[in-house]
Amino acid sequence: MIRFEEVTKIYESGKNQVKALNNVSFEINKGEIYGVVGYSGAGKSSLLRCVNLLEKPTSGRVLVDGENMADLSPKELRKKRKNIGMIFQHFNLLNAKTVFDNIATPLYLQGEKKTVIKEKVNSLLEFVGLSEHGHKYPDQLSGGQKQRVGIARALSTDPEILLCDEATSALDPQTTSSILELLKKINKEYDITILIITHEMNVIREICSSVAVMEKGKVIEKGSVFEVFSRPKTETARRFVSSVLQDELPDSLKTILRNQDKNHQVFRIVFTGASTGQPLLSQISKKFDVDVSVLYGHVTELQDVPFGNLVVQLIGDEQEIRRAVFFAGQVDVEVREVIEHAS
Amino acid sequence: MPVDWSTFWVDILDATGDTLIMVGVSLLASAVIGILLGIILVVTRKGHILENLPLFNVLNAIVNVLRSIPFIILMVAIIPFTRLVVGTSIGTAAAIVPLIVYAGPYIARLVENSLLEIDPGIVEAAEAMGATPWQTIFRILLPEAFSSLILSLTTATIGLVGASAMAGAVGGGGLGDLAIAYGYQRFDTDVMIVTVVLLIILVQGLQSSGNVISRKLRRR
Repeated sequence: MIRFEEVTKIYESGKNQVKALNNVSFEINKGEIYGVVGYSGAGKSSLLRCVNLLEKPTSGRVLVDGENMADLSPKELRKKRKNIGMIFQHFNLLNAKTVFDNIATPLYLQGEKKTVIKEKVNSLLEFVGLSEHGHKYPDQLSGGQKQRVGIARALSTDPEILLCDEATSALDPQTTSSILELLKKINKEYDITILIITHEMNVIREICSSVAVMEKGKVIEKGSVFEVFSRPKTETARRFVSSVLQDELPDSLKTILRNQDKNHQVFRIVFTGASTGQPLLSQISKKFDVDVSVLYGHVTELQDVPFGNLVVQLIGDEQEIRRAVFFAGQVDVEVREVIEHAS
Repeated sequence: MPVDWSTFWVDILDATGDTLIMVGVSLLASAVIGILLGIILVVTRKGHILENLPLFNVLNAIVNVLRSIPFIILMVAIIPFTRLVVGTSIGTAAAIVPLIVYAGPYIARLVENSLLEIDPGIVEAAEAMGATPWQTIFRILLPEAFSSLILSLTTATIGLVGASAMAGAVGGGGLGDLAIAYGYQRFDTDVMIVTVVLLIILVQGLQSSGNVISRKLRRR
């Protein structure tokens, strides 16, 4: 659906050159909710804007439905843009227009008939849960409501793609969840492909199926959300994952562990899918001569699959610990030693 | 020589009429020119929807030059041009030409400022919607800036009232002319006070109605 091919974007300001995007290639399939995560300045925003050509790539191609955006004439581009909705961090609503007129704007612009507009906008108002608010002005709405208007406006031209530019970053956690729910619903009901850029990993966890991690203009890691959460390969990805799983051991605990005289090792056990239901720890302590102490535990859901993350301490002699770990490895869980000084 | 007030009121009424005509006509014409110029100054700047730096730089320079010339000098300097346009260099019609040349660039700057106040994100949203540059200007930018534009035009109108008072120097008539001719040159303080009070009322009225209209249009 959307394909980035060696996309590079360079901004020039005087003598300085800033490489916002550096040879980025990846593909987003139809019907996916694809998340791009990165710290500010990583190039996410430029990447997103290359899709509807608000930013023109310096080199490389962005293919939307097989068409290179940069090859389109201005007229074709405008037509194509109507097929790509966009919502923004700061909503970018027209302050002088009512909610109804805001949502209707893209339809007015393409010269739609009044009766068609009225019907369309009313159904969108209902879809985003703002039926009572059509006559209000944006300044009378809360942040979450404004974003709902933004979403309804983006959907008014029945696009196949929705671009979300940090769409929840200006919202509180509760409102964020409700907006994410709405995006999920849009994806399911209208089969719209969604590309989200964000610096919040919980956004990725809650609704995305695939994720790309960006740093310094490059995609440094990509894969299914499940893969990246269970086995982050890069330091940056790992840090993003811990920001939502909070699987770092607190310092106080590390101190206690360090001062323990008995032989022990600390492991992270990642359960995925069916293995989450297994009584693994009690089996270990029965079968082997080791004591098990749970230091941290967390079970969450990734794309409707349970995902468990435990940090345990195994106390006993080295050989028994090794056997226990080998056993655990047999039952479809991932076990990795946590080095205590890791931060 | 004391003024005969019974006939003088007629003069004042005439003068007020002249002022209103001068301000009204020049406002209309300079608003058209100014709004057009102001829009061009915004959309042709770097990174905007119709970026055209040579055009922007030329217009920007012209506006700056015209804005630097004091009105009283401008009025005299363009007499040949005025004569070309209205056939004479004295009278109310002759005063209107320099007033337009004076207020046009002034309004252009005010319009430019009003339009620049709009969040660039809104322009970006319009582009993302597939709006043509024309639609972006007339369906997005101008409606968003409308209430602020009304305030700008109010300011410009009051500037024109002030400038029109100086038009007395080319025999333009109007309240300012009256104040200078009777009040200043003939030392008739009463006349001066009456005309100045009338000017104050006019300016106050303009400003208040501008504020009211703008507030009605503003949704904030």
